Amino acid sequence: MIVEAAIQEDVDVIGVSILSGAHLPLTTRLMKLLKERNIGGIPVFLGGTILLPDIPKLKQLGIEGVFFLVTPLSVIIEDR
Amino acid sequence: MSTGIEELVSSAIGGDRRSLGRLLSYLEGDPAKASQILSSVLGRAGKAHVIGVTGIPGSGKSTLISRLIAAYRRKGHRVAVIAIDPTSPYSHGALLGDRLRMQEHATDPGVFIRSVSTRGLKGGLSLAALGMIEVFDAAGYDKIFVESVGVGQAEVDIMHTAHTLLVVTMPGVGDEIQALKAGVMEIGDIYVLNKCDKPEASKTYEYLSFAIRTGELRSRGGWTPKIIRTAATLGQGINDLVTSIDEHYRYIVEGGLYTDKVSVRRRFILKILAEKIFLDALNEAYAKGEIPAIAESTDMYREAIEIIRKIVGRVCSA
Repeated sequence: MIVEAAIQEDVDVIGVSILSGAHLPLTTRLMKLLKERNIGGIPVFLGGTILLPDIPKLKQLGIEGVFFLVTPLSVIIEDR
Repeated sequence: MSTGIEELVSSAIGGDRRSLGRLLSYLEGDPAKASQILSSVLGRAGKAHVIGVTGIPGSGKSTLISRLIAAYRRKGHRVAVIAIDPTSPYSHGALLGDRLRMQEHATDPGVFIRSVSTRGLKGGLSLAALGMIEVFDAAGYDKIFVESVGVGQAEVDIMHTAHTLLVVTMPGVGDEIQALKAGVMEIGDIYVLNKCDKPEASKTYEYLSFAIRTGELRSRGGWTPKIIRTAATLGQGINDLVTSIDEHYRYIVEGGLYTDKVSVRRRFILKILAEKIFLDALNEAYAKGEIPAIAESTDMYREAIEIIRKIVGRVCSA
């Protein structure tokens, strides 16, 4: 659904908020689908409750950035 | 660059959704690109049935469209939705909130939903929305829904180009129809009384029928407006609505009104393009200081005509 919305709206960036703790499997699946649909070039960032030790793994999956609670918008925008 | 657009158009028509999404973005941006896209799709478009869906915020337009998508998909149609201004300050709609209400169809390859925001749109809302109709049409989407609250001149103009116009209302707003008549509310082909499971539904129904009988709510092209009662969240009345939409479609096709509407739409696109080209040249001339910022004479009319002459000469020689 995320991938389809990104295609139909022709988005520049995808931001996903994950609070469930399932960020690793969800992100793995998302990045796989994005590649399959040939839109792997769109930067993806995460927010929510993400475990600190998982960040290197997420970066390996191709996640551009992970932002925690109360990150000011300006920081997220400038990070790219 | 033009070959790039050509390639994009043929792959979009060939079914590549990513190319289609990209084309729609180009229509929102640069009018030069938009014109190129239109040139290559117009010959292939002009077959789809464009259904405008307008109505007050909260009347359930998106939920209704979601039901209609399902119904038309069952009948084998390919369906596109153009949701205008989901961030409208009038509707208090959340960003992409319309998508959310139609999400059960998001992954159906026969459905394409696209939002157009009026915010930060350089090429103009009407050009983007009408251009999208042509592109979806050329790409083989034969039922195209255009959803809008119908507030503002651009949105009213867009709704006027729809083949079939649904005006969605709900119980308890009877008297307010009076206030809503300014705009597209009064030219509906089909009035949808949604949320008819709510009290006061029959009162609003009576009010609508009275308004149609007395000619207060006018018809277009000799068609007598219909009132259909639905409860979109419960799925009630959807079959009646589809029957009514199909009936109207047959009516306009048989009466020759279908092709008229397509011509109206295209003439309108042409007008917007002409305005856009002129205004861009005018703004450029001002920015370059080619037109004095201070009036040189007291004859404003003559001076205005001189400016037009200058700009037109420049546009035509370019």
